[in-house]
Amino acid sequence: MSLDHSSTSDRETERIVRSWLTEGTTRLPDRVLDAVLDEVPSTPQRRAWWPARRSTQMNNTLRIAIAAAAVLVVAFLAINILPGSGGGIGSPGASPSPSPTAAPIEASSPPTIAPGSDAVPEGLFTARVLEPASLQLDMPPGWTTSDVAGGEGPGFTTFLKDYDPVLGGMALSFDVVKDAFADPCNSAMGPIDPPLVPTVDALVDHLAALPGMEIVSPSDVTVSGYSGTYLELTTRPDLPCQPQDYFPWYGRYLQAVGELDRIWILDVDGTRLVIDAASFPNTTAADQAELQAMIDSIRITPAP
Amino acid sequence: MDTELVVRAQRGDEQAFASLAVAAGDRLHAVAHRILRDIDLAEDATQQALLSIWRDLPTLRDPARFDAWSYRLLVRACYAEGRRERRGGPVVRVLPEIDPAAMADFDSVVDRDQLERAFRRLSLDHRAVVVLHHYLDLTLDEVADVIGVPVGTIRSRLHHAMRGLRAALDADARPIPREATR
Repeated sequence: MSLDHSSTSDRETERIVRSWLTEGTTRLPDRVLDAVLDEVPSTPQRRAWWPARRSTQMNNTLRIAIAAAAVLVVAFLAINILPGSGGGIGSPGASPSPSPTAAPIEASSPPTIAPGSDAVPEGLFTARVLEPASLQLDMPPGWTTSDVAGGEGPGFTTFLKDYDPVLGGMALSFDVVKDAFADPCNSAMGPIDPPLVPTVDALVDHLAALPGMEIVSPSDVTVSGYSGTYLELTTRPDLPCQPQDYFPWYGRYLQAVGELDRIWILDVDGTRLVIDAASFPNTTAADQAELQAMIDSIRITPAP
Repeated sequence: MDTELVVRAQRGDEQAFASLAVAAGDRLHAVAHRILRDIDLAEDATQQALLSIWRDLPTLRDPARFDAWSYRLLVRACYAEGRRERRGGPVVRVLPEIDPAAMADFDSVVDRDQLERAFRRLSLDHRAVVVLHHYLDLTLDEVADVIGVPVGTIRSRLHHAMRGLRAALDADARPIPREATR
């Protein structure tokens, strides 16, 4: 590196700095890499549900209009399309039991989430969670996803709307659950031993034994022709650790005491799919109705 | 980066992540070392960044953006490590006394030390921009995406940083008063 010191031009400064930056170490010592890889088995992968920022706020008029429209859609579906699904929101009877023979919804060009955007396009949406199988559902307006919130992709997809443990809102996630921790409050202890077998019943049994969680209404259910179990999990005040440190299964942690998770655990051709509709005490009935309509619209099509 | 590896690691495949870590470790460490200017801090930052990558990988929506996303986590780790650095920072090698008569033969060791000192005086925000732009050759838009601030802010930080480095180099070019060398 040599300089013309009479005056250092911007270009010359840039050249010198670039040259200087090329000097120095570039190799990561093996012991550092080894330390990382040693920690991986006891480090749970995070699926943060907490939105990085509040989703776009709607004005009250628009919110009321959408809520009213959602109620009408739900009422229409209940009366005209889904016989036998007339139970109250949150009850086992409200769980979707569309006809196993229901034809998958066709979409000429399924909408996708625009790169760099959190907004989930309104209308029929094809989620990637079960790739190469297809999972489709009708997305109302105003829902988001984001990298921080868990994103949309193979193995896991989550959608959020005004999601806030204090104010309310809701989330709908799809998770291919493979494992759980021996201690839901201490992921460093590693996975349960013996391992969680990949059946619906094994996960139901695991959830039923969790401390600090109230489990109600386990019942048989069918979604888009795939059978499984429906249940409801409520986070109790006596949770043995902070909700954000509590993993009911691998990758999923809670948000707050009082959180209600309505869960469908399905066997989709050997893949254990968990559909989790999460809400809070202040989630409105209109929001719950919108969430239920989304769940009722789910169609799963096997891989070609 | 092999996106198939990224996807597999997103699904919890530890072997796939190990391959990713081996492939990305050196370049992440190189960037961390250039931002932090301290080998121990750089190793700690790289270690933390790799663990963050594993932990948060399922949240990466587009596997093709793995490289840029990994730099984002690395820069955050560098900020965290930089804040833990002791006040006063690591010991800097003492410069040899400079004879003004020898200014014409100003050697590269002094150049490097002057740059090193000037660079260390920059904030971590400014250092990161310089390294991402001038070492990794990222565009200002890409740097803005990695750092998570508007491109105008990146442009301003880069201007400020380069002005400081240029001032340090220009200061070297001026004759040093003899009393300053005593």
